[in-house]
Amino acid sequence: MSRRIVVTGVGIISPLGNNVDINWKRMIRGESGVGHITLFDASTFPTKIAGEVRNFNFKPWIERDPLLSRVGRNTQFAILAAGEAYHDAGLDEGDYDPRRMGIYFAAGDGGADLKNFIRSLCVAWGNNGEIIDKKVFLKNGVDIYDRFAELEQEPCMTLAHLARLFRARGPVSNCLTACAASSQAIGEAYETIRRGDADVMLTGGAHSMIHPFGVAGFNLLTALTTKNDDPTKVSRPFDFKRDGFVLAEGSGVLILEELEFAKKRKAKIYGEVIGYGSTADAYRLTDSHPEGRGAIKAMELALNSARIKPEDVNYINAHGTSTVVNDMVETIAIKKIFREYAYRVPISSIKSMLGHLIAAAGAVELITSLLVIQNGVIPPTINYEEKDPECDLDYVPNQARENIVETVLSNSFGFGGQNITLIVRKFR
Amino acid sequence: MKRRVVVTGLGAVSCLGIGADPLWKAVIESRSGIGPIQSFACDGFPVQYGGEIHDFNPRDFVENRKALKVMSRDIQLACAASMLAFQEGGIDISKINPERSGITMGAGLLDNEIDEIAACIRNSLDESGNFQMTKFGSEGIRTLFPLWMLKYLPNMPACHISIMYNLQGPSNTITTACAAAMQAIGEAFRIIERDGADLMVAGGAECRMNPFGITRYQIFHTLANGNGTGRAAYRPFDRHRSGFIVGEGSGVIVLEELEHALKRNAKIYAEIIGYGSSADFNYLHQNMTDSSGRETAMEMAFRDAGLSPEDLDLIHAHGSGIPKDDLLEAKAIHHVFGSRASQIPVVATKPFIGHTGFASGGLQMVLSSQIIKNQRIPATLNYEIADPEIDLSIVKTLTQTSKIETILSNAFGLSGQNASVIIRRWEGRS
Repeated sequence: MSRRIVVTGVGIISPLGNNVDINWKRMIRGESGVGHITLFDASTFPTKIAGEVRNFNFKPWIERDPLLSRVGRNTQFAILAAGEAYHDAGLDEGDYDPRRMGIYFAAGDGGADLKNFIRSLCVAWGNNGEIIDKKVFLKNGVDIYDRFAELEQEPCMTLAHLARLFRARGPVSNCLTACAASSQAIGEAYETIRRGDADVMLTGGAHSMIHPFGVAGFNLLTALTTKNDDPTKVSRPFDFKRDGFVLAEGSGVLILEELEFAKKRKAKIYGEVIGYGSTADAYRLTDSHPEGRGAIKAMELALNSARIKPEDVNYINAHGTSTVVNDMVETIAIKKIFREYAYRVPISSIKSMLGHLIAAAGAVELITSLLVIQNGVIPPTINYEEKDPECDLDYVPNQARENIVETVLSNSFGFGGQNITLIVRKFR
Repeated sequence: MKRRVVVTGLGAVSCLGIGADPLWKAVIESRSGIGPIQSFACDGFPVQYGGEIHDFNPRDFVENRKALKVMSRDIQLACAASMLAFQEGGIDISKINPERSGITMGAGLLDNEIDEIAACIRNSLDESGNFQMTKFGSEGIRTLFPLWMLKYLPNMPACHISIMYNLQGPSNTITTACAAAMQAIGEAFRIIERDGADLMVAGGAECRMNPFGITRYQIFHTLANGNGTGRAAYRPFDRHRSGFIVGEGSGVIVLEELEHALKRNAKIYAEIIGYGSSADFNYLHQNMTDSSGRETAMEMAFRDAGLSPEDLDLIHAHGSGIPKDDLLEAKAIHHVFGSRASQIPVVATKPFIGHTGFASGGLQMVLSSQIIKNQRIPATLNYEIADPEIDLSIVKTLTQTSKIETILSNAFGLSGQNASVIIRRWEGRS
């Protein structure tokens, strides 16, 4: 008989707040977490706004464990959200064999050690047309760079710290597939338990690209909105005046468990993961397939694996980035799968309030999907003012809506063409 | 019924040449490709040897010039190895179902080209030569080209390859350091097994053969000392081992569901029968003493394969050459194999091509496939003096055999991720 997988713990740290409760409350009120960038002086950057995590306190972790004093911002977020999820699940060391607990995570990079990076270059300007004198760079670099700061930039370090702190010694992996990453991690964690390779998986993602190179990179790609005057109003998925996404940061973490294992320890159950679909557009690096080929297939695969019909889905948590193309293609893909029912199923994008957490986005969205099932309220797509003729579905504009929801489909589409769809259902 | 997975194509780019054949030819000649670093001046640096690829022309593998412009060397190497794997496996892209074909690649942080990023920083300095963030925002950014970021995103090797070969199935990028490519192969195996695809391209690519890369490896205290001994400084499991020599490259294999492979009369190298992965608490800056994660990964692979350690014929070790890393691998082998541990042959092949990090598991699996197909065990180069703390049968010279039915291949990330894959000889059994 096939193993069923349930969610028993959740944790969020995001621009809307530093735990799940406050995130949910503010989402239901339709509040935005976007503001002016304070992490560095962005006054001359094309984009000066982002969804920053504020007032978080990582100190207690460092006091308990000095090894954490050098970890990257992404790892701090991951540990804080994982701590909440682990505690929420009521897990305790004695509850499981560490070899039967694994982690499938989507951690981004830890961010460059900018000061030393710049210093290492500034001592080595070259002559004769060579910008950097490599010999001089190599002579000095070893002394300039800090080994801990360099090490903690690697995405695998987040995974290493999580495994250590939360006593997971079973299957571990970290995927980095841009904006689809944490949804893909959750899907793979689900498959790991389903196959019997673990009983408990800690999964989700953590990312912060609100650093000079991150904002610069996305600005060069013209993917970000450059309307800086009214930060809370510019992330506007599906609205006619949308013009790019808003970069954000944070982490979402879920504890997945095999049902019988969860029952045995009387864990509370948020819902059941029942479907997972994963595809690639194989089209272009920077554009989604114009007809949503990969997105359609991912939704179809997820519905098939869940053995449900499109009409069984009561709410779609959209990828909805607020870029012109993404929101249009996602709408096309939803119509293709859901046909006339597409006009009746409520769809919303919480990126309107959070901004885009990149590798961490999908995890926060799946947690929100579970809370929708639990609370019977759908968070809105805020800043929805003017209808785009190309996007003519019910995006739950501006106001949260009470609605009994049993089954949610959640989409995540990554830059470069990775498409992930997850389906969760009320536990029965 | 359980779906079986076989290896049907090998792609390699390394300092031993372009393709899996030149790599294997050098390996059976016991010839290393490591030499003095030539692509940038590094005199004065403690380590001046590396596994550099000198004859690689990315244009031979990427037709689209625009695409080439947004590829770091890591991505170029990955595209080349994938093309070689398809060619070698005789796979006609037009005849496979794109929706049932996918990719998993091992990657990680990709190093910036130093002069490219330095030009951007130089344009962000004030008159006294100090970096100003406001100047970076107004002038520095514009020094970089519009698609600059794409050149260094870890998921781009997989994305480019999926576009080049129309792979519309699952696409994943695993970033677990030196275990990444081995894990990518293990996860591709799982995807085919669970009916998520019929064909998967899997492996990894890395180029840290640049000033940033070797500096980082040096401050992690992972590089071999002893420039006086040149390429012989790389000596896994030897008493005088002191670390690794950096290589660059990409190793990619094609995995196929058995019936799919048989239907197209594919050449089959081996069957993948087991995969295990685990975590331990040995990340770089702690004392490395915990071998339990390595044990768990190997044990899981054996359980998965339905095989007893007693029946294994060869261990293709991670064998990084880092003193404590090799010691822990030996300790874990003793734990898993018990009294047989000191008899079973163990080979480490990194001294042929250097340690290629994210790519290493991919190149290792290319070699494991060739070893089992050709029934020849390569030499562990430069292994001379046994370490009294390591009681293993390290293969010292090229050995012809007829008895290798199974090989276990290990890959361990320095930060605590472990992956083990077991393959079985293919003899036309169905």
